Amino acid sequence: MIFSRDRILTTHTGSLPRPPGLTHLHVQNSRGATVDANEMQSAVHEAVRDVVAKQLRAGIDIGNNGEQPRDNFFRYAAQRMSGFGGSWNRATFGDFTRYPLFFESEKKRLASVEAVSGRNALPKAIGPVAYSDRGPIDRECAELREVVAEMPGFTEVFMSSPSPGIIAAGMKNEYYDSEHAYLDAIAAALSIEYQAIVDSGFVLQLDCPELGLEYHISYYEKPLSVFLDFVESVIVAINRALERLPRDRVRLHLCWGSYEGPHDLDIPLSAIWPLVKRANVGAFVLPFANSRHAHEYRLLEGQLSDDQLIVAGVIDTTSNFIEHPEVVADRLQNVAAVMGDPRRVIAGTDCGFDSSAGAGRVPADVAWAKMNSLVEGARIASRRLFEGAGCGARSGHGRR
Amino acid sequence: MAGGSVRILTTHTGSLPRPAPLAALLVEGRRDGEADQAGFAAMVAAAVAAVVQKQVEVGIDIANDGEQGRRSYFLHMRDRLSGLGGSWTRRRQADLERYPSFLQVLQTEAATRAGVSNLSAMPKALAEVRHLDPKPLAMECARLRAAIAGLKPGGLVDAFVTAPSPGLLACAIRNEYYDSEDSYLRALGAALRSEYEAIVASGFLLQVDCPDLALERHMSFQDRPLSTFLSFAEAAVDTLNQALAAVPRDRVRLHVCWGNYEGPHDCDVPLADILPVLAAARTQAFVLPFATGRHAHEISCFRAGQLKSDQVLVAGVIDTTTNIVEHPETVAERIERAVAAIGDRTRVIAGTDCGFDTGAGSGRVAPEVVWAKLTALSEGAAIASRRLFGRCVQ
Repeated sequence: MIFSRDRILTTHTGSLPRPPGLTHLHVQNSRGATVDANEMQSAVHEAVRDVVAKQLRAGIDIGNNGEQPRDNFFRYAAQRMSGFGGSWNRATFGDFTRYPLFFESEKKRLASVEAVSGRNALPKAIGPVAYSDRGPIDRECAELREVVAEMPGFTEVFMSSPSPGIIAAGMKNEYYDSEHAYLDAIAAALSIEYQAIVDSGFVLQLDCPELGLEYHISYYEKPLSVFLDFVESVIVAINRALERLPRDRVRLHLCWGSYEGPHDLDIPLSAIWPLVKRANVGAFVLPFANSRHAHEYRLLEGQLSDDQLIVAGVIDTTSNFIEHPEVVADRLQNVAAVMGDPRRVIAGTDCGFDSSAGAGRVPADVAWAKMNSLVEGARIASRRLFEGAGCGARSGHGRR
Repeated sequence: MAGGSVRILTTHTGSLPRPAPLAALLVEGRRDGEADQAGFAAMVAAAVAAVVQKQVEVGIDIANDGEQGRRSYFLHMRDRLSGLGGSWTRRRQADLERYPSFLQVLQTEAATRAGVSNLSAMPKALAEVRHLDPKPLAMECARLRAAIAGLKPGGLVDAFVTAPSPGLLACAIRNEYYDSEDSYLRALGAALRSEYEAIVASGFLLQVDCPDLALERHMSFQDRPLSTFLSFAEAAVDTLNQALAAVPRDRVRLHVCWGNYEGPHDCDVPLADILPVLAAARTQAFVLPFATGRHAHEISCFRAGQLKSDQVLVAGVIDTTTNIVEHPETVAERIERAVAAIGDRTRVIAGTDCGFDTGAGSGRVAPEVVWAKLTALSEGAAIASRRLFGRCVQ
């Protein structure tokens, strides 16, 4: 992974707004309707090219395919694996249950958009899990390689893939004797996808919302230790799946759910960090833009090894306010101060903009304006952190 | 009015969620204070009593009636001023025109809520504008006093009542009577003067709501040069100062904002551009929004010492347009940042970016989430107080 050697590099967390036509195809597909394969393929291809061009235009350094070929950040993976079938609905977020009036308005909102669900009609594990079809990941990597060869400009390219833990949480186990055995099987299967991504020359981003989010879906009414046991077993599974990959090619994204909501049942980062930090990865991608977790960057002080980076979320992916570049710069300077070294800070977003096709609250025009702010803010912070005296010092005030 | 001398005090910007049946009646156009509306008046009184009690419970020090009886933060003036009639629709904010996909999202979302609009069905000034009737305000003040009297002593530090600025009314209520915009503005200032004086005479702090000094840059003045807007803002402040001439300055706070809506806000005029104009206002405190990702950095504008040595900043540290409940630690950090910029812990009060329901029923934040956010506000203020004033508090 490339460090922010002489300026703060920029990236984002994965999903970018999809064109309405492609969203429609994904929605149809996820509901089991027949979708013409050629139509899907050409819609995906056009969207990938478009999204790469737009990232380059915005000035994103570490880009991806915007997850355009996927319907959702994790449910797509079940289609590449055997052993899944049937259907179930996941529990809703605990904070939604706690605020029924808010939940009601959120339901109305969701009813008014066409979107893939990350919660309903998910498959279950009903047989031995195996990565049975390498075709889709090979095609996805080849397509992205081809597009970035044609449109060079990224410093690095990344591709995301779900953690074994989010698959285990999202696809209910009805086959394995224990959750541990299930996790192990998923980790073994997904390691093929992880390997394919790294072999393609991409940085692998492991999407691990379950390390934060799962607490207020499945565990908040149980003792904290039960959740921490789950986190620990996921980290063990992740490390096993990553065994053969160099850690500097892997970054880990952790979050509490990319949705606007109270978030007041979110588990504090401090409670899970001692376990999360054991993940054998080169970088952590964490959300610090939203006001529920903005203060938690302080916890990073002295926590990472010298070879590890932080991708700091400085753009809120659930709000339509376009962050002021000065606000972005302030946030980056805060993180750089705590890290003690701006070279180990990359500017990113709190989460994806459209982690389930069509479900994102921030439409394309605002999302891209937010990316522009990200890049401009990183530029301002770079000037202060790399050109000013005292690297890593907070110097964001009194500039006017 | 001052900030806390031993801890950070808390307040908010005015409107709080109304009970759904009350909001529905206000949307229908029910007027507070009408003779045949005894049932309606009782409903408002009950809502005010509840909202005052609730503010005390969540730890608000400087409270109000949540604007429960008003249709919106300025449309109640329709019933108090002469010369208004007709109807027009205001042009929308420049940033919304710039992002058409977002505008569509906004309209879809807004259609799921029935609320009073502050854009459409606005009245116009068709004849001379004068203050007609002191009774509705007197009734509001009496209701608030009664609600406070029902509290245990010591529950509140102070109480405030809001009133719109002349400049806001000049923009929202189109002039079709006066020869010039300036004479219209002056007439509005003269008409509002008695409203301001009556609020302070009733023992309440007066909060003048002046979105005109920021928001109107990207509404009424979106096609004109910045200098034209700044001239308008100067005239608006001057008019306001005349209307406030007889009111003790230490009973006035002035709220300025860029519009209480979730949106790109990338056409917002920078605070640095308008601050010299604001500084001329005859007020002891400014109530400004610093919680959103668009204006958070502007707290540093105050490092250069723009405020007079007795002036207080009510810093918005709670975003009134999102349903995320701010973490108390985030709130504390924002308060500490404001104190660092002002350079005096006793001159910062913790507040919210704007109202939660500026047009009855239109607020995006669910009522129960509003109260959770106000709880986070007072918890955050307590954390900041411990750090800023030491352990010997509360």
